[in-house]
Amino acid sequence: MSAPTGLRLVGRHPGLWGLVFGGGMGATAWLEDSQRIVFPLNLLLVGLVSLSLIPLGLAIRNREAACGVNSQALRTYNRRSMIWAFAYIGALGIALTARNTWHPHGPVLWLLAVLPSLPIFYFVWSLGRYLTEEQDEYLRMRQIQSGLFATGLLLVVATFWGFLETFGIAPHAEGWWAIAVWAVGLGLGNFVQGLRDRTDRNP
Amino acid sequence: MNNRLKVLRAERNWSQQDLAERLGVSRQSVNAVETGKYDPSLPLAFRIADLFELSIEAIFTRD
Repeated sequence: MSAPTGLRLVGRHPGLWGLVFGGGMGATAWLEDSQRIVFPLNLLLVGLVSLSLIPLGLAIRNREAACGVNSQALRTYNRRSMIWAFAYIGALGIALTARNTWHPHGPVLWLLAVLPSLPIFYFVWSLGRYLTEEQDEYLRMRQIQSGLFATGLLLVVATFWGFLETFGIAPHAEGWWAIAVWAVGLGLGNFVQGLRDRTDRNP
Repeated sequence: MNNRLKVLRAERNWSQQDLAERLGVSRQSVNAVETGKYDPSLPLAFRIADLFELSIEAIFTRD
């Protein structure tokens, strides 16, 4: 089955856009950590790097179509992933801007602190919905395996880093890093399974 | 578990994509089952058997 003509225009491998996004976010974190950029430039940079999620999503659709994946559930899941990713960046931007501009206290500060985590709840829900809605049992199993790999990676990284912290070797890592590590694990899991599918192809 | 999917496909001149569309699954799923990387559930095995008008045992065999 060939990919729809409109999707071919974006071209490129999803991994390329994944590297653009990951590299951009990593560079932004380094620039901020080394005090080379401050608010609101850091937020602007995050917003710009986040735009690479659009071609990434389209490249994933393109690749899926080329690989013969015709799953409505997967398309819905990918669309929901775009929603939560942009909602997360938007919520984070609003929360940080409001905190740095108005320096709120009490319930407003609580609300702002909780705001960026709300899209993550939506992400967890969308993942659960995907596993319920996916009619292709192999694709479902693949996603579950990727999720287990991501969970294992998170447990290993969190435990490893936690002991480094306990012994005073590493700086404190905020809890919200958990979702970033888990998402990287999910992406790695999908990437490895995609490679396995390619090497086993026998049409 | 071994299977005769590749032979049965070839007899009908179907590609993996053709079979996938008839079964309502992805081509990756057909490839995974055919190469023995993934053992299908009973419902999917019955769908495959029905499509080829054979029994499950005539398609899937023990190692």
